[in-house]
Order: sequence, then structure tokens, then C-alpha cells
Amino acid sequence: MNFELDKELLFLKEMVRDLVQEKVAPRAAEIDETDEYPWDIKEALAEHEILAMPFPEEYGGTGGKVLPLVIAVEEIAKVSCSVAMIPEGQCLGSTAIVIAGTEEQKQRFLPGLASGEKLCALSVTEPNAGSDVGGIQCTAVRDGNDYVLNGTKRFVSFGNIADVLTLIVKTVDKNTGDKKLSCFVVEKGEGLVVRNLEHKMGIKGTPTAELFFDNMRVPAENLLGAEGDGFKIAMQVFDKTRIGIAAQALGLAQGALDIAVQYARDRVQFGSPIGKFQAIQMKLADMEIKTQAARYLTYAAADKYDRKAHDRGKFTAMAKTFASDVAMEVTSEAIQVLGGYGYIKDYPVERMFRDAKIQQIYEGTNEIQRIVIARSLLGRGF
Amino acid sequence: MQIMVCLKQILDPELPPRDFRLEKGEMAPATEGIPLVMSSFDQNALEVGLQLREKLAGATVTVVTVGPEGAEDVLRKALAVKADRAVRVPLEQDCKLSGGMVAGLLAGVARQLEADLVICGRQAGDWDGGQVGLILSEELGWPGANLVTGIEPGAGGLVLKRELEEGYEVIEGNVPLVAVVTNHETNVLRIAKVKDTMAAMRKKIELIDAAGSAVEPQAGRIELVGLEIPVKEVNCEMIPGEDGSEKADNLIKRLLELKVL
Repeated sequence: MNFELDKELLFLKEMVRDLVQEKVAPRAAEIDETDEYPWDIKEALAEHEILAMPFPEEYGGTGGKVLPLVIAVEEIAKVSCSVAMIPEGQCLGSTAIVIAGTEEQKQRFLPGLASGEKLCALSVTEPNAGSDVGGIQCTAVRDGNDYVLNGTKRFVSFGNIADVLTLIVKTVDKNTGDKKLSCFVVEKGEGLVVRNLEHKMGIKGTPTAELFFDNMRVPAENLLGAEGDGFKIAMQVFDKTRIGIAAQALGLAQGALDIAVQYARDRVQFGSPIGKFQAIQMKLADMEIKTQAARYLTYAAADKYDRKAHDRGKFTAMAKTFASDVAMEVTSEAIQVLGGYGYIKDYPVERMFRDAKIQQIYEGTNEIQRIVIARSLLGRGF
Repeated sequence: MQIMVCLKQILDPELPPRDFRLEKGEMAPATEGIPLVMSSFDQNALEVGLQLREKLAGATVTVVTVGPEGAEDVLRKALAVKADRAVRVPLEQDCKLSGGMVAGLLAGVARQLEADLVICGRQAGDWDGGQVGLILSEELGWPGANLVTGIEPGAGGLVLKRELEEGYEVIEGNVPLVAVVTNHETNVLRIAKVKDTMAAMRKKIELIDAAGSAVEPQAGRIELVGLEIPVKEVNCEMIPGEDGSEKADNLIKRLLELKVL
């Protein structure tokens, strides 16, 4: 058993770090301040094939393995979680097609997404259905060769700029009235109204949208899998993409820790760098312990996913939960180490703290993750 | 055209001064746990080579380093930005060579590779010797141009742009030629792409034993007799004066006394 990344991944990490230092670091604070989507950085991520990472090679991707993507997302999130969400959003929006799409659907959608020419988003949450996916009320009713979509979707990351949407809705049998969760891939068009939802606490520069479907006609060939496969597809998507949330959280924790260490070495109080005081040393040590533990759990989850291990779902849930809790704790402690300077925008730790909170909430709250983990221990019926 | 670019692996110059230390009793910096990177002027040299290759059909870029196995990392970084071929001249981990000896080894490699153009960084970012490039041109008996910022194909051969204090100089030259490159906004090394980065780890690195090419008399010409980290002392002194003008006068007087000016 080897707990070290192999040379290829270390090399990838270095390459992403170079890209982040050149393109992302100079813009990170500005993206947070202006809350504007960084199109220039999205182009750089596309050019350097970061956006191609979630996709198999046959569709223009770099392979689609999760561990390399985790390495890249972690490295970006050390500097800007908002930018780290760009490849993550592309992964989240496209995974249903990768998992459940027919060859024709994959050929039709994936190359444009892998090149970054088109953007995508996943839409599950509704005003009255968040953690309770079964409560989805958006409907799709078959009408000839089309389905007709109606309803409202909320909190859709990148929903306003995405060209392609994958969404979970309820297909309704006109004769029996039976409703089943189903998954569609939809290109924006007539019958869809998009409204921006802004004023978030963190992850500024990552637009969040509300989608209103009003008799939108979608060709029947855009159904992913069969009617009724929606819940299964959504869970399979999250089994993969929640590892990316763990990676974002890990990057946030590491980025905040690095700044805290640097500050503790430089900041002099009572005639000594504050890093010489045990009160600060204890904090830094705990931050390091938690961050490293989050790293190994996240990498283990990615490795298990790539190897299709039977317990990959549980590891994904554990990595997402643990890493996001750690991100919250470590960014908070980083502010404490920096004191007053940590509370102002001159240092990025307050931004990291705001960005960390959402990691405990989106793509399945940590409470839902804990239920998933507990049920894997207790078995069916709990 | 066979373009050979010489690369050196050095301690990361971005290392905070507090982390820089010397090996106990050694005439060298400690390297354990310290990141090693491609020397920055060599990065500029590589970019100049890659840009020239893009303008010359059939041209190839071969990157060469002299060093232990760990130095292959800089070659792989070059392969990741699509250098065609990579060569390492093996060296024992602790072996220290003078600039002249390195130039001798590189000259041997240039002959074996039948290189037409050799491009070097103007000086390594560790010792800042600045000797290898021009000694190499001497060893090969080829013309050499230093402070080059870019090379373009021209009607009669190559057009080299040189950076001077007061501006630029454009010169023409024919291969064989050694170009010694300095940094410029036009030759910042490009960043690799994901697939090329992953593929670089699987590419072959050739070993060339150029020991016979090392110029023996070069050894011993330079002897390192001491190495120490300068002790920085910071003192604060208030400059007296009634107004800005008087303070400025007093500041200049004080700087002259301290021989800063």
C-alpha cells in the first residue's frame, strides 16, 4: 500500500499550480469583489484542458478519472474556490450524460463540453425539494415525439450561463397518472426562462440561477436512460461529483492553512513571531492534522471511484462530509491566527471562510451524507 | 534544423530566505526537502527554441541536462510543453562541475546530436555563473550571441534580437550557432496542457555519456573557498529636518556618509 501520489499526478499538480499562479491568483480577490463570472479564466481552463478532465478520451476529454480531477480542483481551490467550481460545474452538469447517455447522446453533447466551447449545469433542487429528491414537482409529459416540461428549478449553479442542462424531473403517465423521476438533457430554448439568484455569502463569481419551464418541448431522444431512472442516475452522479466538493473543501483548508503558517512566521508580537507561541502552534498543528486527514480520505474516495470499488458511495459521502467540516474549522481558525487582519479583505482567509460554508450544504447536505454513511453500516431498513 | 536547448535543475529561487541553509561543512546549499525547478533563464531559452520550431518546418527541439536522475524532472517539464526529445548526461548526485566542465559536456552532446543551434539561458539561477553558454560556443568553435530575447527565421539564416541597456540590437547569423537567452515578456515559458503533462511522464529520456567531452584542464581553474549566508542587519534611523527639503538634504548626506551613494 502506497499513500503517495505517483509521479504523473505530482507533475499534474505542479502544472495546475503554474496555471493557477499565472491566471487565477492575480484575479481571485477581484472575482470575489465583483461577483462576475471570470470568462477569461474559463477560457484558460479550457485551453489547458482542465475543463476536459471529467470526460473520456473518445469524446475529447483527458480520460475522465476522478483522482486527477481532484488534484486539479484542490490546487485551484487553494487560491480561488470560485474558479475551482468551473471544472467542477462542468463535471456535475455532464456526468449524467457520461453515465447514462447513449452513444448518440454522448457524441452529440460531450465533445463540445470537453472542449469548453459549451458549458453545462445539473439541475435537481426545487423551491420545495432539496434534500428530499422524491419531492420534485417539475413534470415532463410525453406528447408525440416530445416531452413537455413544466415547473421551477432553484439554486442551479451556472444555470444562467450553461448551454446544456441535465435535470431531474417527474415523468407523468397521461393514462395512469403514475409519476417517476427521470433524467433529461436539455438545450436552452423556447419555454425556458432563466432568472439570476445572486447575493450569496460566498463562491462569488459562480452564478446561481432559477429556471422556469413553461411548456418547454424537449425531444424524446433527450431522455437519459429510461423513464424512472432519474433517482438512480442522480445518485450515481453525486457519488462521483461529491468527491469534487471534498477536493474544493480540501483546497480551501490547505490554502487557509498556508496563509496562517506564513503569517505566524512573520507576525511579531511581544518581540517574537507569533508562531513561537504554543497557543498558535496548537492551532496550526490541529489544522494540519485535519487537513491531511481530509486529503487522504478525499484521495481514497477518488481512487475507489476510479477502481469502481463496491464501497465507493460511502467513501464519497465520508470525504465530502469530513473535508467540508474541516474546511469550515480550518478557515475559521486561520482567521483567528490572523486576528484582526483575518477579518478584513486584505487577506484571503475571510473569503475562504465564506466559501467553505457552502461545501457543507450543496450537493447533499452533510446531514444527508451522514444518513448515507449510517445506512451503509446499519443496512436496509434504517 | 536540430535545436538543442540546455536546461539546469536548481533550488527554487522563490524559496523564502529563512528556509535557505547550507549543508554542514559543505560548500553547497542544503537540498533536502527543498523544491527543485528549471532555472528561470533556461525556461526563457526553451520558449525561444519552441517558438523558433513553430516557424521552421521540420525543426526539432531536443532538451539536454547534465545531472543526476532527479534532474529528469526538468526534462519532463520540457516534454510537457512538447519538446521533441530529451537527453540527460548522467552525473553522480554529489558531483560538482565548474561551468567550463559543463560546457565541455554539452559540447560533446551537441556534436553527438548533430545540433545546428544550441540555446542556453544566460545564467543559472543558483550560482549565477553565466559562463556555460559562451564557453560552449568556444568549445564548439561556433559563433555565439548573448542577451538574446528571440530568434526568427530570416532570408539568409536566423535573425536574433538582443537586449541592450539602451534598446535592442537585431543581428543575423547562420547555423551552427550558440544563442544565450535572457528574459523578456515575449519568452515566458508557456504552461503545459493536461494531456501533454500526463504523457510527458511516459516519454523516454535518453542517456548520453559525454564524459569523454569534459575538458579536464577546466577542473581546478576555479576553487570555491568559502560559502556563507549574508547576515542582514536592519537599523532604523530618523533623519532630522524642518521640512521635506531639509530632510532630503540630510538623507543624502547620511547616505553618502554610509557609502550607500
